[in-house]
Amino acid sequence: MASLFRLLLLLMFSGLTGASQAAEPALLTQFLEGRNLDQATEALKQAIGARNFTFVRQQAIDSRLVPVDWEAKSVRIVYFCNFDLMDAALRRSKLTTQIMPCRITLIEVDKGVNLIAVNPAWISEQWNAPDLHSGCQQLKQDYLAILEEAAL
Amino acid sequence: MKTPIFALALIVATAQAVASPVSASKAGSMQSALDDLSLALIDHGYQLVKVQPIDNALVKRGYADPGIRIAFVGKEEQIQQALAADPALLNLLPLRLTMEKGADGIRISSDDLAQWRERMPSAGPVLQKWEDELAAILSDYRSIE
Repeated sequence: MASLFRLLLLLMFSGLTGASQAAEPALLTQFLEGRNLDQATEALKQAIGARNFTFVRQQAIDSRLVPVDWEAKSVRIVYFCNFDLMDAALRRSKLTTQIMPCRITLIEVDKGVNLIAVNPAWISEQWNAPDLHSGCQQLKQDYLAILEEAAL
Repeated sequence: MKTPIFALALIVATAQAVASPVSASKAGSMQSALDDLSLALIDHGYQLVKVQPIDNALVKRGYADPGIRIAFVGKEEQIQQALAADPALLNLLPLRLTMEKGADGIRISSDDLAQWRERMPSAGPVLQKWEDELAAILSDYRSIE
């Protein structure tokens, strides 16, 4: 009976630990002041290439959900990847598909463009796999470098 | 004695429910899975926005075939739903379904939206709605003969 309660306490403590690990921000952001959506997209594509990632495609947020003429002009998605990293990640765990391909959302506002990415290190917190988390921390650093370079 | 065991079972079951993405598996090829998924999507007012053939992309470049494709799916009103609940949800759209080839066929699974619900409680109802819709779509996918 006592060991059962210890197990219960351990489970509850594990839950709290999981909650306390939520220190990672969910989103990584960068603001490109004075740029429009096309200029920001171009800067982002160059930054992606400079960090050894490959641009995959860009699309409006509502692409193929509405007629082309009606697509949102202020919200765009840019997808990119690094095939070496993708191959290595998939060999380790198929969980990593949740962060593939890499993606940055661009939102044009009055004075510039917001670049927003979901933090892969935040996603990997739920996997309870430290070896995967370290790789996602590295990918987070790549995202930050790309966002920073796009803003130069 | 029964109460702690029940509590333990409840905790474990709850943890699993929160951590598990929605998924469905059935026998068949990747192409037949895509066909069936497309039918299921249409029945629920969804569109297949794009399929990212990660398997083909890697094989073409000399890597091993991981048997993975990503299907991007959605419907127009989800953008308004995201903007009304929390614009951060735009980063989830279009929604993603991972298609994984295994020994027994194709397994399709959603991303884990529970993590988003925990971080953005105010967006919980919208996220739950999307998750329920994906669960219904995958249930239909599984039942299509």
